[in-house]
Amino acid sequence: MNIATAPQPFSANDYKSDYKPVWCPGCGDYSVLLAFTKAMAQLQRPPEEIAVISGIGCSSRIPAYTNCYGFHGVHGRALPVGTGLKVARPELTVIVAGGDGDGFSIGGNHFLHACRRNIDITYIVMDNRVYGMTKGQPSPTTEPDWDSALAPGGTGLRPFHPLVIALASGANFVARGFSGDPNGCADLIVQAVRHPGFSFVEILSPCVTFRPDQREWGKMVHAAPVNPTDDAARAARRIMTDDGFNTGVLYAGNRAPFRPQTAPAAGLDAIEAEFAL
Amino acid sequence: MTAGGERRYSVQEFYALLYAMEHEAAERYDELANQMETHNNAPVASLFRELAAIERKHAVKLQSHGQSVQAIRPRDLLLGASFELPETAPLDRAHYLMTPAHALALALENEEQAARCFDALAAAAPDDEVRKLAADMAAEEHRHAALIRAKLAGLPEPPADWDQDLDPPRFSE
Repeated sequence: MNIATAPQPFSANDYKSDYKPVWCPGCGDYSVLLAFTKAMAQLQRPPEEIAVISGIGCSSRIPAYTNCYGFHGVHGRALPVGTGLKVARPELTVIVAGGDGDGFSIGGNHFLHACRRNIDITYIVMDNRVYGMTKGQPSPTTEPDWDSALAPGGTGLRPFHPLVIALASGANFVARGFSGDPNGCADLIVQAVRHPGFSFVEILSPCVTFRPDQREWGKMVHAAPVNPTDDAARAARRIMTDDGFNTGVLYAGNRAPFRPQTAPAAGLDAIEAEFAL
Repeated sequence: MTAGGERRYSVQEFYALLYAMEHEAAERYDELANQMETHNNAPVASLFRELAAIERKHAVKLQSHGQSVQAIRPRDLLLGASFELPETAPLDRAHYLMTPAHALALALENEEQAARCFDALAAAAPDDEVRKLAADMAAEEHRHAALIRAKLAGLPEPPADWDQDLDPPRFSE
């Protein structure tokens, strides 16, 4: 067991900002932030070479809590911003982060096409199966029978299945983690960033305020009993038939990431002129 | 903690384990203190801050054995089936209305878990020095647990409706 490594210039705390999160105590997003900072420390990329892009929602506050470059953007539009940034600045490590509502409902179409384009970015979705910021409406991943004041008796709707949709749309890396295992999530994020192309990491991140039942997730998650595959059909079968609580890397493909062949024709001056009032 | 004693640690690795445990425990209590400050729960914030300071003192003491923050990858040191090191308070146990009694009960669980882990290591370590270190650590964690238990006994029981908020963040009809 090799546990001691040479001292490294960046520790997890170097990726944290001075802002204290305003999430509810007990929220899984705290652990995802911790996992993110641990992952960046493992990667040893300087904070100024990392950009964290988000949309809207509780989890989308995450860029402010990191010491990296950040962009807290428009609802559901984090992926287009992240895609554009990576195309313009390929030397940056671009992490897009958000929640299930932002990513699969408001930004659902962008999710499909980001997977299809296979740009070399990492997308972390903190999935709590509810719209927490707007006080507990069912989201695309909510179970059909989840009974609440805002959806009495449940929605009766089939939940969106993000992992298999990512796979079918062309994502090159698909993984699932659990926020209660921040060290495991950190390892998944490291692998996702290192894997070329579009990497999708779904992190089951309980909303203890509107979904206190999700406190039980810690007893339900388990490591995927099989090794990752590069066979998309096999991965799809596994993901479609698992219980939704398998964690680990579920697919690691070999598709070459998309990189534009030509540099952008317009310079910064031309863009500024376009937007001049 | 069943698997703690199944791993074989060298003395250096054992010190790495100790350092990682104390360092992570201190960081976690600070994180919980920050959360409570943000949510205006001052008594629990100050209690978590105090616990962080105690754990940090232990970590600093262990630095004399050559351990540093950067040199540790806690993932390599996880024991048994736990997601986190035995003395690290799980983030999902926090509640914005928790009382000092809840916070101390959580700290007690952490100390008891660490004690069980060291008991298992002491019982199974093949190396004499590691076995002795583990036994010493187990005794220390049992002492800490006893201190917390005594402090906890002096606190009032949280009321049954401790988590009731007259101005809750959640929607109600």
